[in-house]
Amino acid sequence: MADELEELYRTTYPTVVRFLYRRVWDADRAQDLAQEVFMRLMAHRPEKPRAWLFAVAANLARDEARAAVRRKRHLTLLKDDPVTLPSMQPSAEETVEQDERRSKVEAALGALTKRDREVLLLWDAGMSYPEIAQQTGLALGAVGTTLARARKRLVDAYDRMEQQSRAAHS
Amino acid sequence: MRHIPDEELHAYLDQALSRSQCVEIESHLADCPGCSALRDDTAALRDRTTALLARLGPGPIVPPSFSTLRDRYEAERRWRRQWTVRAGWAASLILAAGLGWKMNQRVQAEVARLQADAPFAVAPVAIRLLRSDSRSVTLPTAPTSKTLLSRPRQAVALREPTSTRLPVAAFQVADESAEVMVASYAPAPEGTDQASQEVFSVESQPAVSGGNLQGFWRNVGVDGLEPSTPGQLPRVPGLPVIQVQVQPGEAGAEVTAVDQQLEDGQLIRTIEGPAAKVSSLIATQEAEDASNRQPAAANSNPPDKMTLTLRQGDRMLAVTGPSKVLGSLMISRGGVRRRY
Repeated sequence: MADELEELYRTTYPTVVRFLYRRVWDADRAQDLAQEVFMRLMAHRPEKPRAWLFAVAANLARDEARAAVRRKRHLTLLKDDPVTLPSMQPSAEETVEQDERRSKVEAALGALTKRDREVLLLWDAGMSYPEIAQQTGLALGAVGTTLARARKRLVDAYDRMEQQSRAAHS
Repeated sequence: MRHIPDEELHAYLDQALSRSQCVEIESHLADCPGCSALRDDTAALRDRTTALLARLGPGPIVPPSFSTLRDRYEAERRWRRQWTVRAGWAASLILAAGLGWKMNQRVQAEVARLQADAPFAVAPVAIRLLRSDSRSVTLPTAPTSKTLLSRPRQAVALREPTSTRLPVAAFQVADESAEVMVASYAPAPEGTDQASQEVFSVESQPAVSGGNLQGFWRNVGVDGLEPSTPGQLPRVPGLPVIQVQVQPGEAGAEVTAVDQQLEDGQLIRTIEGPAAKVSSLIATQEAEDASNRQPAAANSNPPDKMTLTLRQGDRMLAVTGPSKVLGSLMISRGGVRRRY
C-alpha cells in the first residue's frame, strides 16, 4: 500500500499541482495544497485514490478561492460572471510576449462559467469522463457537452483578446 | 443517416466511448465528409485547448520526496493525538476543580470534624514555590463578627485531611521552573510541617494587586480562616493563598474571592458563589480590564488574562489568571510544549 501511494505520488503530484495552480494562481500555494491533499490521502486511503485526490484538490481550491475572494484578490476565481481581470490589462512590466499570452489564457479561463472551467481543468488533469461526472455531479452524457462548450469558449475568448490586443498595438 | 453530434465527437476524441460506439462513429466518418471535416475541426480545437492550458503552468515543479511528506504526515498525526490527550487533560482539570468544589461544599461538616483532630499543612509543592521565592506576602485581615473568622491570628499551617486526598497530577507551568499541583489535594510528606509554618507566618504587603472587585468586600486573612475553612476555600490547590475576600449575603449567598500567587508574582483569582453574582462580577472585571487595556492598545498588548468558569446549579466557580499560565496548567504537560 505504501508503495502504491508512493507511486501515485510520484506520477500524480505534478498534475495535482498544475490543477491547483490553475485555480489559485500561486505556485507556492498550489504546492502547499497539493501536499496537503497527499497527506489527507495517507490518512484516508480511499478506494479510488486518483479520483479522490482531485476531488479533495478541487475542494481545497474552492476554499482557497473563497479566502481569496475575502481578501479581494484573485478575481479570476470569482463565480460565473465574466470579470475584468487584473491580468487582462498586462502591467507595464509584463511586456514579454509569453507573459502576455499567458495572461490572456488565464483571463480566458476566468471568463468561463464555474462549471465549464471545472470540467475543463479536471479533464486537463487527466481525469476520465466518469470521474469528472462523479466529482461534478454531472450526468455522464453531459460531460462531453460541457467539455465541447468549455473548449470552444476558451479558444473564442482567447482569440477575442488576441484580436483586441493586436488592434490596440496597431 | 445520423450525423455525429459535436459532444460525441469530443467524447470520441477523448477516448471516453465504448469500443462499439467508436466503431459506429468511425464507419460513419468514412462515409460522411461533413462529419469528417467536423471531426478535424474538433480535434484542432481540442489540441488548441490543451496547448493554451499548457501555458498556465506553475513553472518547474520539484516535488518533495515521498519520505519527507510521510514524515510530515506522521508528525502531524502525532501532534493531533497529543492534542486530543491534552484536551482530555484540560477536561480533567476542570472536572477536578469542579469535583473538589462540589466535594468541599458537601463535606464541610465532615472536614470541620476532621480538622479538629489533625494539624494542617500546605501541600509540599506549594511550599517549594514559596520557598524558591523570597518575596513575602501579606495576609490582610479584617474584623468580623463571624465566629468562624474571629479566631485569633496565628501562624497556622494548612493541610488537607488525609482522608480526602485525591491522586495528584503534576503540570509544568509556562516557564517550566516549578511544578504546580492541580489535583485537589497533595499529600504532605512527613516532616514538612516546619516548612509550612515558615511560609504562613510571614507578613508584609502583597507583591501584586489583583484589581478591585465590584461591591462591598471584606478582606479575610488566611490565618483568620484557619483551621476550619481551607476545606471549603475555592482555590487552585497547591498555590499559596495571599488574600481572601468575602462578600456577605444571605445564608449561602455569600461570594468568596481567593487570590493566589504564582511564583512570578502574578495572580490567580478564584471566585465562588451564586451563579448570577459571579458571572456579573466576571463581566465587570473583564470590562474593566478591557478599558484599562485600551490606552495601551497602541502597544498591541494582547489580552493576557483568561477566565475559566464552571457552573453547577445556581453556584458558579470562576478562575481568572494569566492566559499563559492557565493555558499551561491545562495544556502543557510532561515537559512537551506546543503552540496553542
